[in-house]
Amino acid sequence: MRIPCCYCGARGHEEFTYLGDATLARPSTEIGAPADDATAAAWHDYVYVRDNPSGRHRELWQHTGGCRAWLVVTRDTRTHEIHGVEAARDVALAREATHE
Amino acid sequence: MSETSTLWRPPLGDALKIGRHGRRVDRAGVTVDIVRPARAWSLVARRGAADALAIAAEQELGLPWPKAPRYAARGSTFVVWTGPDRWLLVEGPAGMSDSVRATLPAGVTSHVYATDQTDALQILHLSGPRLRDALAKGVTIDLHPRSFAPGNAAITQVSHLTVNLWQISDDPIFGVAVARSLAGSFASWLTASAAEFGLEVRDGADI
Ligand SMILES: [Zn+2]
Repeated sequence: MRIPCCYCGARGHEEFTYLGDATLARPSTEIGAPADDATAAAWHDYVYVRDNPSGRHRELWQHTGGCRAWLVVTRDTRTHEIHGVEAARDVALAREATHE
Repeated sequence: MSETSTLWRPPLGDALKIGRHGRRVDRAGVTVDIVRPARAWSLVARRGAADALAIAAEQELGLPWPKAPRYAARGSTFVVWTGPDRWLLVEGPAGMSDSVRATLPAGVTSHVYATDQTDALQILHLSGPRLRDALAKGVTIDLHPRSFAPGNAAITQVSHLTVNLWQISDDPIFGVAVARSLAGSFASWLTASAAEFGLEVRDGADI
């Protein structure tokens, strides 16, 4: 499998480290808020519960053997076909902008 | 030569001994020059300051500032792109201390976080008619002239060691920077890989 890093170009997957599901969003807990059941459940899901999709999946990869950038890679889990690579920084900033 | 030249030891220690190694041939297929930088910095642009840094660096250092995996040089100063908004800036060689700045120009420092890497990296210049054949044994990216040309740079792995690699000229001459702690492993890979072509190791300060 080769991943086209948006900074470095296409490289073998051995230069990259898989860092998990890119679709998860950290629960927005206020500092000092009571740790109620709903909050605990949201954190439990965020930390432990993962889907195991067959097909396209948005994943975090880091180009650890290259530019060290975090990437959001859209990959088909059945074929390893890569449908897109974005800088995770840009994805996070865009997500922040839509929430403001 | 100043007194520092007798005290300076390359980060890779004795892992690459000056002289000829491997096959005995008239002209070594691969030549390594051990570079002695006067000063090497890692630079990280402050948030949103990458464009301002590029303008300041071009004015104050006279270097076309790379915004992609590229290398640029002016005299004995060079810059290599090392990641998004990150660079390696090297001034050298040591021994020409009167021409070397002890600190970065103020116009540059106001836009970056700078960390001294002078003793943290081993920088080598690699050349020779069989260089690409030797590099092909450990480099997984394509270094053929049609896909990698002078001015191109890459961060990649050589025999599983992460290095910065850049092409200086068509001869070809390549530059490589490897972390001090990995320099010995890189040197043993290079010695083995270049042995069949004949390897010459030179003290870069003597160029
Ligand atoms: Zn990369």
